[in-house]
Amino acid sequence: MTKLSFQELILKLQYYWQDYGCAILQPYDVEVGAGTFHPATVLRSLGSKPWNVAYVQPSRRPTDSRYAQHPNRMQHYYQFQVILKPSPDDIQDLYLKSLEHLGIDMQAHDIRFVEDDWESPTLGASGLGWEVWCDGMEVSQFTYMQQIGGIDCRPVAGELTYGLERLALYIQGVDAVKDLDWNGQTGEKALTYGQVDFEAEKQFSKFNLELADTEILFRHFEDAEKQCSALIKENLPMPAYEYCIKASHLFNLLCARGVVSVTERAAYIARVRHLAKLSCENWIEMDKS
Amino acid sequence: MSELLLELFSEEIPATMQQKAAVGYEEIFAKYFQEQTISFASIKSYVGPRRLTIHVTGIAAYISASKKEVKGPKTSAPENAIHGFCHSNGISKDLLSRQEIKGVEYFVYEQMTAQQQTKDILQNTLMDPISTYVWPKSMFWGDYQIKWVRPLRNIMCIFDGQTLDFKYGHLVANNKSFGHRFMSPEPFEVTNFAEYKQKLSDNFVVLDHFERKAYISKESNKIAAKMGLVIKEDNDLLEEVTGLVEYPKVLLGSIDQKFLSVPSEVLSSSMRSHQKYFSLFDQKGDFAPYFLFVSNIAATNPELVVQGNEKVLSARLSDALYFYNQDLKTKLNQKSQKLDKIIFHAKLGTVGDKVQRVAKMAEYLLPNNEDIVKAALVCKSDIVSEVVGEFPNLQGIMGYYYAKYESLNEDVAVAIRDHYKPQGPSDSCPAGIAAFLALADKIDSLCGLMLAGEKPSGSKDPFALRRQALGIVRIVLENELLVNISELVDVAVSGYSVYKKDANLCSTSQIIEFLEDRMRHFLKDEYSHELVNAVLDLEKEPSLVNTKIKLDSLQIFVKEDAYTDLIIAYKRASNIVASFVGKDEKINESLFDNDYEKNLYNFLQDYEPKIKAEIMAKNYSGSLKMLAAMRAPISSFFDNVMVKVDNQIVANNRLLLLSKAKQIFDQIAKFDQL
Repeated sequence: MTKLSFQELILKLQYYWQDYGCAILQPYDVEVGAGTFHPATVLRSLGSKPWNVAYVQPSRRPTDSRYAQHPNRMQHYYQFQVILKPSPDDIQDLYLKSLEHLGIDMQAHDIRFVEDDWESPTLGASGLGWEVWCDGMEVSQFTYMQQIGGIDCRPVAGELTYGLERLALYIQGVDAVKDLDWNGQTGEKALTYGQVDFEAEKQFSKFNLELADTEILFRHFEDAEKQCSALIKENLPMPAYEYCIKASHLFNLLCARGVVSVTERAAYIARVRHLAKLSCENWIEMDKS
Repeated sequence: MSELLLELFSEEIPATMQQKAAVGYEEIFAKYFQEQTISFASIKSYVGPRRLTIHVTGIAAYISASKKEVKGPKTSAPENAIHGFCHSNGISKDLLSRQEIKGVEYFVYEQMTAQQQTKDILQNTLMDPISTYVWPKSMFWGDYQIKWVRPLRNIMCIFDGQTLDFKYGHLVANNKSFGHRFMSPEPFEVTNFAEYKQKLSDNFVVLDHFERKAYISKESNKIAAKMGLVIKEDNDLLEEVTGLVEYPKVLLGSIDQKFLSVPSEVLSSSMRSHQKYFSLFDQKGDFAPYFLFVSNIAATNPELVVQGNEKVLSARLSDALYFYNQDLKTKLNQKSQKLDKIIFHAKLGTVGDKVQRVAKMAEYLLPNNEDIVKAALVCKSDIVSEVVGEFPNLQGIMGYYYAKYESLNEDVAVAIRDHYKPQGPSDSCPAGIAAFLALADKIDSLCGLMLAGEKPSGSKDPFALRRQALGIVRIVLENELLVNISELVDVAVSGYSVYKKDANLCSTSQIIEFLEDRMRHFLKDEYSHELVNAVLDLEKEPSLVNTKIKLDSLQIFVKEDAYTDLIIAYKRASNIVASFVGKDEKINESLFDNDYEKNLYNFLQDYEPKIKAEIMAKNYSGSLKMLAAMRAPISSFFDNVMVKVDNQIVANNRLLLLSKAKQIFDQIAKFDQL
């Protein structure tokens, strides 16, 4: 297997899905917990129009902050997301060919589709599918979207989410994320994942777990909620949804700060889900008209 | 006789759903054939990750012509009713005949069904049984209208060597099947089951779940034996991995020594839940640094697959090691502080509050014991540890290791570990101080959750209160703990007094009743229903141990000679005194006019205090032995003395005598239940 650098891995995936006919989009410029939160998945998976896109999404999970001390758990990481709507009959083969395109030989490795249904209580979304294993390593999530914002998806979109760090660890034969080769250069120009991202990892861990001002966060949550509701009234589902995502991230930060009790937690999730539901419903109405 | 072969070819079916579906489809098809009145010899289903196959043999080629009488309206019925009947059967009135049924004349239609080809019936209706099975979860895909567990990609259907090209949703059945996803992906054609199985086998697919399972089991044991190791038995895991492969290859990987400092339970859990690997142990029972896994391919270089899996496991175990080391940095009592942030139940405060209650209860159960209080105060601390966060099934077990690490003594560590036990009917009961702690924890949970209105109903028991109550019964009986259940419930309930406003949805007597009910359930295997009903009464005898001793004594007693006569006498006495009201009066000896009365009276005078003393001393077999002595006087009394005589005063005196005799019985057990 050729040892692709982290950026080559992304480029290869982009070329592969471009050749299939996907539009290559850019990351959404708001903090999100996963590639799914990008409106290109949440909003565009709804409605009847075909939609075939791929994009990288930097994602944040404040509770996974480990001060860059953990070999593969970070509060910031990258996902590569593909949405194919309607899901084509050969979507599994298309996916497997993308792995081959990355240099993974299907005859030499043990590839498996292992049941893993996906659910996002904050988005009111769910889907059925698998995690894809390569020699026991989970390299992707494969989901047939069934519902988003409480709305049934028809036609159904297939969602492929590549865990880029995992995949790179596997392809480069490296043990810790910080040691991943980022740019494939040697000598002075060489950069590792650690050199690119781990200072931020340390600083944000301290912010997420210790310093984020919870009073501000609570207030911003309320504000985001208000803004979202107001935008719905104006029939602007896209900015409304953006404030839903903001609320979701603020909630995640509050969780990381350990100030949300178990009972409150359920209530906050319900509040974000409500925003997601309103945004999606509004989007569908706009889409129809 | 014909053969039907149907293959539903799918994207990967969840492993844990496969076997149930195979059984379900077998039943559905059997029923379908019966309803269509098509006779057959056998139905068998096969299941794997990518296909569910049904094979029916010995099918009749056609169903013969038949005649069925359809009863219509009365001949006197209004014309529109008769017209309606004809219309619904698609016939004209002149096809109706008249028939008298139970004195009333009805119209009858003799419906003739022509001979039908089985092939035609299948062609027209096979889609029905396919759609009948309800998966635990099903889904839509693409822009199609049908639902299945995962996208259904192809249907192969062969009847008698011919393709049945029926339609199901957007799919049209054909004669094609497919081999292994990677080793032989091209389609091949099929004409019968034998050929199907052979071609699958040639194309690297083992069709039969049980064949795969047996193979995996055999191969794994072979590899383990070669290493001088034994596999940790785990049938659920074996079932699951069998459902993840079409062409199993068992491989052995090794684990880096550096992870062996982590408790083996953590290693095993990580390997099992994340990776579906089997753990291996040496002959002494120590964790061995190897693992077995089942791949789905005869890879060009299996060593590469092994290396890949070792690497993944190494990353997983690094996680475990990291978490474990993090956990060791804080002591259990430091962890306890975090419990104040975890809600035990919305109406019942935090886990921190619960721990305080459990500690008090433990102290009440076992006063002046430092260890139990020490254990109680940290028994839930591991819940907030990183390892238990990852593997909730390790709660208790991790507490044990953390306790050992900070040099708490073995008894304390074991009590922390075992206080969740027994976790089910097959789990063992804790002993020693762990038994008291387990009891304290369970009685506290049971009472609190009952107060909060979480009493189980039907199949709904989200807090597993039945299991908790059964645990209480087992712990008390197996450890022969002389605790007063009713007091215990009172103490536990009083611990919740601060939540009274929200949590008062149950009375203490309802809690005791619930426990009594579980006790009854527990005893049903060992004692007859009647015997349990005669003895079990926690309000009256709040000790489970005494209840059990009583049951044992009574069980022996009912087999003794004296028993039959005594129970007859008891029932006669009960019947006679049932409506007697003057039970509290004193017996007047001077009214006795025969020895039978006197003898019974003397017996009662003599034995009543003795029997009472035996009961007080909880010597039930002693009390029953004495009761047996009543056989002669009471039997003779009934044989020779008339109770309801005309002289009301004498009659009353005799009724008094019998009431007294009955009271003695009643003190021992509810003999009316026997």
